[in-house]
Amino acid sequence: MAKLSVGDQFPAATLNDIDGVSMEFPAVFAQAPSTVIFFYRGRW
Amino acid sequence: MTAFVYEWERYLEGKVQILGVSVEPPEEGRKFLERVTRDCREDRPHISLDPYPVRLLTDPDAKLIRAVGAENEGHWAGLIAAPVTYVVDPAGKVKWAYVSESAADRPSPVALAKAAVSVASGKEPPANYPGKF
Repeated sequence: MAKLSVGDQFPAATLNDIDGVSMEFPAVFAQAPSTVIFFYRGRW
Repeated sequence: MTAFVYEWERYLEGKVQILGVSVEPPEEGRKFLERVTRDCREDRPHISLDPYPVRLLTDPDAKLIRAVGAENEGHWAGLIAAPVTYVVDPAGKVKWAYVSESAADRPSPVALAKAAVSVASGKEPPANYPGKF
């Protein structure tokens, strides 16, 4: 069960995309009026 | 994720950014995008995929995956992300969530698109398209 729920503030983290471009959370959300973020298993 | 991309043209272009996070290395992400792009081109050839609307992020140490509580440590392949989907507003506040019970349990693409567009318009997600938690 995910800890993060509706009404919560998204946590801070820095990740790279698959092209190596760094992305800061939660600042990245300010780049669009709305963001859909999927957490997915991968190829399994 | 493929099914949701099909909603891009109808609802989302220019309003919503789409991010995907997994523990997989970049090369696996590229293979995934190639596969999804091929499927979409074959099944929905009228949808423009340039640029492809999904930006994939790699979280090899599961920093963000753990921070949101989406870690699955019991998988035979090691730690992976459990499938969870969020709609987040520009201030970083979670407005809609769908916590899947299994790999096959995914949010309705239409419900997700309606929630995302509502948030893009500064509104709350519609009550008749609830998430799941």
